[in-house]
Amino acid sequence: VDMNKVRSDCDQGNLNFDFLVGLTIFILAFAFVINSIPGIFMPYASNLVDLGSVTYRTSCILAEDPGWYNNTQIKFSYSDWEAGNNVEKITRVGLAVDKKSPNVLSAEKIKAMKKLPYEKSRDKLGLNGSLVYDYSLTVTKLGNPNNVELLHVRPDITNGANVDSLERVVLIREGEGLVMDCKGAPADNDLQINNASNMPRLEGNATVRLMNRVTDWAWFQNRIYVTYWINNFSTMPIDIKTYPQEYFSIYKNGEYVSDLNSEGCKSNDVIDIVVNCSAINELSPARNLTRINVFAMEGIPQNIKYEPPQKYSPFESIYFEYFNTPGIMRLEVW
Amino acid sequence: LKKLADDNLGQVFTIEGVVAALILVVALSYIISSITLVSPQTEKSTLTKLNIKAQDILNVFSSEDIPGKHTSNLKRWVSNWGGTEPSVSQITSPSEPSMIALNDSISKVLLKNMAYNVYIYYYDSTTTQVSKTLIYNGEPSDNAGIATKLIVLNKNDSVNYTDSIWADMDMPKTVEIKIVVWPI
Repeated sequence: VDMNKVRSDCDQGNLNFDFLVGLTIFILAFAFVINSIPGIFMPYASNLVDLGSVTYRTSCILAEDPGWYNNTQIKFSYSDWEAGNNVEKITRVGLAVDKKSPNVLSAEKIKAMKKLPYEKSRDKLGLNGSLVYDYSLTVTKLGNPNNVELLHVRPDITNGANVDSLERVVLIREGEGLVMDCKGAPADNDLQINNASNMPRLEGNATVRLMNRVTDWAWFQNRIYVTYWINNFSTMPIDIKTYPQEYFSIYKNGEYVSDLNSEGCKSNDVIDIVVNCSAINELSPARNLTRINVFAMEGIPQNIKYEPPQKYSPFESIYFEYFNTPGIMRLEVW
Repeated sequence: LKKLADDNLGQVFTIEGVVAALILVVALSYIISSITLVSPQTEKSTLTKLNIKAQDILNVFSSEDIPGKHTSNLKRWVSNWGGTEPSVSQITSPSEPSMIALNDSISKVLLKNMAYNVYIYYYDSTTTQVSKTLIYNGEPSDNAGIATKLIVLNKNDSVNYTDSIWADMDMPKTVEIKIVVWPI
């Protein structure tokens, strides 16, 4: 056997180097294509096609619907699911104050939703059907100067999930009462002088809101006076601060404060003084609380009267308003 | 030795081919990774979101602010309007405090990268349709969100009725407010 021939001329049983490189490149390219195919079809996946409409639908349920609860034991259902133990019988989550006021969210319902477990709220928002969606929700009150996050439902977003988001402009309603806006109020000190005999007595809670002060202030600088009318004659206005704490309560930026004097106030703080009119009336049978006057050391108006019920509105004063604050509701669905 | 020099078996012949193929694969992977896949609905959904935002703004400012009075901020601002439009260099007319208040309120709830115009449409005392600009931030882009709201104005909605443009018209009056929102 010629050994030279075996070494140099024999090319049987060898793998062609060109072929090897070519095959490697082809396999690499093929693997790459296979790897990226699921991504190409992703926008057409069923849960992604309707993600936008599911997000819109959910945002409408939240921002335009007041929700619903159904008490099967007493066969009663209504939309105040946030009150009492109704939340246990909830059938639909909604944050609007009522059906006629789209985009006006109830602060009470936002508070109640905070306590609702995530799985339950997802179920009652209709996201737990044949396709199960996850959601995250934040409600932010646009403040002056700081924004306050009122609600924060945020489970971890599944890795690689496609998320659709929607922002709704909303109003957050924190009740109603006499608004004393020291910045924007008109220069009208004496709004109305009612005939004393026309003035029915105030009942329940009456709220006075002080806001937009120019400088920082102390509680003693503001005088909230209550006036009683007995047989068409007014008693002297009495400062509410002379009453014990159970007859009024003070809220700073929505949080209860027991002693505002020691805590102090910044100019941009919003102070709510809730006067318990019924309790003050009950102090003696002859008492007829008919008017609350507000005096402030700074800012106009100096003297707003908290007028009692009239024909159309519960309190006939042009400064009796809903406590509405603009906010942003942000919803993400995946 | 001569035979060894002529032997071309087992060598990489087409090095150009290999290089070309590599370049092709690298270029292809770069292109595919750099484009984001856009579904056919993306553009439509962006427009829908703008429309929702525009409608939300009108809803928010026309919701009742005094219990049982059927009044709203938007109603009050429009009923106090004196009829002056902003000039070319102005966003709102400086002689219209109610429009300045409207502008402040809208800019508070809109993101910084959004612009908006507000228009009003109504029939004047001679049944001619009038369209006027209340807030002007420039020409809207092609993909702008639009919303309208009908408002009924009464005499007592305004605090300065005699100074407003509605003073010499029959009341109550129905006007249409249009807002156009677009990203910038």
